[in-house]
Amino acid sequence: MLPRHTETVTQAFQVLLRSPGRSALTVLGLAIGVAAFIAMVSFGIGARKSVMAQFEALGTHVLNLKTRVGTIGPTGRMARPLTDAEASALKRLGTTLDKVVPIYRRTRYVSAGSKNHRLLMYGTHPGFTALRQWPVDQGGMFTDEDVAGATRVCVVGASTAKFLFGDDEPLGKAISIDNLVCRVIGVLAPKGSSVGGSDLDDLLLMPATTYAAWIGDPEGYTFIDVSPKDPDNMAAARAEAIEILRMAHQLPPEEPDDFYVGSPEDVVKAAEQTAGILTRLLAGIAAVSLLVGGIGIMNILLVSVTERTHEIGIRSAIGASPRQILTQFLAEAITLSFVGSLAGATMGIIAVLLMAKPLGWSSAIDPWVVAGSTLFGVGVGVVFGFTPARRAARMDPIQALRRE
Amino acid sequence: MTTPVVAIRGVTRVYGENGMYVPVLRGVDLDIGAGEIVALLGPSGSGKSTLLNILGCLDRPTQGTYHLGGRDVSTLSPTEQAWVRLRYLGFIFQSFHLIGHATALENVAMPLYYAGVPRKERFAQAEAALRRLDLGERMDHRPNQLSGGQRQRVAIARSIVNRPRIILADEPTGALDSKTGVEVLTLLRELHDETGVTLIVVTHDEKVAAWADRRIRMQDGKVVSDEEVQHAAAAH
Repeated sequence: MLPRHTETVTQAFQVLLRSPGRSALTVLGLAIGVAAFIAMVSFGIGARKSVMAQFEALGTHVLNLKTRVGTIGPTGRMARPLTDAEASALKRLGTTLDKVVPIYRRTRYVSAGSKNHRLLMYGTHPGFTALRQWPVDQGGMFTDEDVAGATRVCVVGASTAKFLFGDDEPLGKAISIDNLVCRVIGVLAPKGSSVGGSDLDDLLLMPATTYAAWIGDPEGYTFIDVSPKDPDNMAAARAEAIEILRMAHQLPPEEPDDFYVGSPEDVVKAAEQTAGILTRLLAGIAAVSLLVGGIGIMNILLVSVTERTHEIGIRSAIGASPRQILTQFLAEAITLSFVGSLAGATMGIIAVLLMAKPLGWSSAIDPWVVAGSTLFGVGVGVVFGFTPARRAARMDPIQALRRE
Repeated sequence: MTTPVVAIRGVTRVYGENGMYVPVLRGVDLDIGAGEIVALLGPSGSGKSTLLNILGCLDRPTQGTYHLGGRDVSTLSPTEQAWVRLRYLGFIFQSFHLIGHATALENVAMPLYYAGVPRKERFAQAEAALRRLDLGERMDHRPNQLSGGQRQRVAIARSIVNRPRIILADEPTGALDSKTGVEVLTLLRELHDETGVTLIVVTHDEKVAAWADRRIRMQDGKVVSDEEVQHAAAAH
C-alpha cells in the first residue's frame, strides 16, 4: 500500500505545483496561523518563566508571620504583638519548623558622612540571610554573639552601599541612625528589583537586640519568618505555625487569627495562574488564525473541485471509485496543510528566537509546542479538506462530463 | 446466439421531480451478443444517449433490469458501478474527454492506476496500447499538442487498456473530418477483430451506421427497428 500512497502524494504535489502562486497563498494563511500559535504560546511560556524567576529570588520556601498589631478583631479583642515569647514558642514547640527568625522592620533615615538616605531597616538574627537565600558578598553577617551583646554593627544592601559610599570600600565605615552609630561589617549580594519594580537592595540589617535597644518598637516584631523542615510540605508547617501562635495568643476557637500568614509561594501560585490564563488567551487568539488558515484551504479546494469538475467526470467515467476521488482531493489538502504547517513552524521558531533575545529569555522554544501546533495545522487541513473532497467524490459523472 | 453480454428488459428512465416527470426511455428490450458491432441511431431526444449512459453504468434505469455479462447491474451503488466501468467497460466520447494537463501516456495509464496496477507495469501496458494505435512518437505530448484524430486515438487506447468486454462510443467521429473519421472506424474494427470486444456506437451519422454490423434505431424512448447490415465485400 505504501508505494501507492507515495504516488498519491506525488500526484497531489504535481497538481499543486501547476498553480504555484495560488498554492503558496493558500499555504501562507495556514503557515501564519501555525507561526502565530507557536509564537503566542512560547511568548506566554517565556513570560511565565521570567515572572517565576523573579519570584524565586524572594525565596519561596518561607512562611512570613506578620503582626496585626493596631487592629481589633470581630469580638473587640485587640491583636497581640509578635514578641520573643512567640518566637521562642515556635522554636520550642514546632516539630515541622526549621528556622525561626524574628524581624523588626521600619523605614528610617540614615546618614554616612554628608549623605542622608531613607531605607528599610531590619533588626534580625543571623539566620535571616539563609532563610531569604541572600548571601553576603563582602565581609560577613553578624553573629549570634553580636545579637547576644547587642553590638553596634550592620550589614547593608548593595544599593545602599553604593549610595552612601560610592566607590569607596564600605567595610569598616560608620553609619548613623539618630544617636546610634554602627560599623558596616558586610554587604549583601544584589538581588535586583522586585516584581513591583522597587529596589530590593536598598536595606540595612542589624542585630535585633541592637535595634530594640537603640531604635525600639513598641509594636513588637514586624515578622517572624519560619522555614519548614520539609520544603515540600509547606501546608503542614503553616498549620502548625498558626496553631502555636493561636495558642501563644490564647485565642478562643471562634476568634480569627490576630496575625497574617503569608508566603512568597502564595504570590508565585497567583502569578503562575495569571500567566497560565495569559498563555491560554494567546493560544486561543492564535487558534483563531489557524482556523482562518483552514478556511482558506477549504475555499481553495472548493474552487479547485469546481474548476476540475470535468476532470472528475472523466476519472469517474473510466472507473475511479468515489473513494479514490476523495483520497485524491484529501491528499491535496493534506499536502497543502503539511507544507504550510512546516513553513509556519519555521517562521514561528524564527519569530520566537528574534523575540526572546531582547526580552532576555533563555530557551523559550518548547519542542512539544512546535510539534503540537504543526500536527494541529495538518489536522485543520484534513478537517477542512474533507468537505470539498467529499463534494468531488459524490459528483454525478454524467453531469460532471457535461461541464467543460 | 449464446448468452448475450448485454440483456435489457423493460427499461424505463424518467427524469424530473416535484410532479414534473419526463419519461426518456419508455420500455426498452435489447440483447447484444458478445463481439457484435452495434450502431445505436436516432434523432436527438430519442433516448439513445440515456440508453448509452445506462449501458455504461453511469446511470441506472428507473424500472426494468440490465444484465451485463450475466450479472444484474441495474441496482448497483456508485462504488460498484465504478468497479464495473473499470473492469468491463471502455468509453470513447465525441469530444475525446482527455485530461488536458496529463500526457498521452498518463491519460492512457489512468484506468490502470485506478485498477491498482503497479506504476512500471502500468506505463508499459499504456505504451503498448499507444504503439498499437501508431502513437509511439506522441506519448509525451499533451492533448493540445495533438490533432483531433490523434486525440481520439489516445482516447481509444485508454478505452482498451483495461481489456474491456464492451466499448461504448458516443459519436466517436462527430468531431473529426470525414477522412479521419473513416480511419478511426477502421481502427475500431481492427481492434474488434483482434480482441473480440463488443462495440456499441451511438451516432446519427448514416456512414457510421453503414459501418456497423447491426443497426438499432430509436425514437421517443423506444426501439423502432433492429436490423443486421449486409456488408458489401469492399466495405472494409
